[in-house]
Amino acid sequence: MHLPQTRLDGTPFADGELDEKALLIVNVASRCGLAPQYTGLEALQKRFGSERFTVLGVPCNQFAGQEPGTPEEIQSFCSATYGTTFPLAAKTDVNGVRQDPLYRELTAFPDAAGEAGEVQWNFEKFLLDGAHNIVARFRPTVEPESDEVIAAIERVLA
Amino acid sequence: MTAPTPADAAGERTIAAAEVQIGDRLRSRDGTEMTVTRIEPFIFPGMIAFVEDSDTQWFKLPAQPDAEVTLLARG
Repeated sequence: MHLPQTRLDGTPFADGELDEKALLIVNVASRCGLAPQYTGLEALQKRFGSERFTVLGVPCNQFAGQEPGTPEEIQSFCSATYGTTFPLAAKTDVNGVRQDPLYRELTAFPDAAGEAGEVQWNFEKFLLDGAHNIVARFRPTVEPESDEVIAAIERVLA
Repeated sequence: MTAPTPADAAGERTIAAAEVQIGDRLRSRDGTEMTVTRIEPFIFPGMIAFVEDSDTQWFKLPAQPDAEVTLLARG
């Protein structure tokens, strides 16, 4: 799995920061109508975040240009508005010819309806187990604290 | 059918999103310009999404069918 090497601020992820952790990878955008999902994502981080799990936000500006800010602006928005503590990766293309290798792998995985392919919109979620096998894909309108997301996280941490 | 309205002297105009066609050149509210290569239903009921999936960029712009969009050029 081609996990992000670089944080939003340009510094590399520390050894072990993502390794061997279950991950909920979410493409995020500050100006999206779904941005209140940050609250639910942070709740998941508070509830499950540990040596074995973290939410990982991946800012992306490919959806209506709703993540136009600088790294500082994005980080400030997330921290100040939603009090996020989970890590953010560098801004990334999740679809198209410049699709990041991570998302080439993620988008090959189907959702609950059996549909693989492009990320539909901001706040699509992919759950990886501790060995970084993709185990679930949740479309943007699935709330982070929904029963299906929580159950899937509990299964990979069991 | 919504009548096109002049937007500026450069020939831009606004049209209803429902009248956008493949190949049209649009400008989104954030200023991104895109050439529509695909039109599809959006994740929210009743909305449509314009997609540019090209060697230049991948970009998605959703709209209500009766919303005005800025048309830069017909495809």
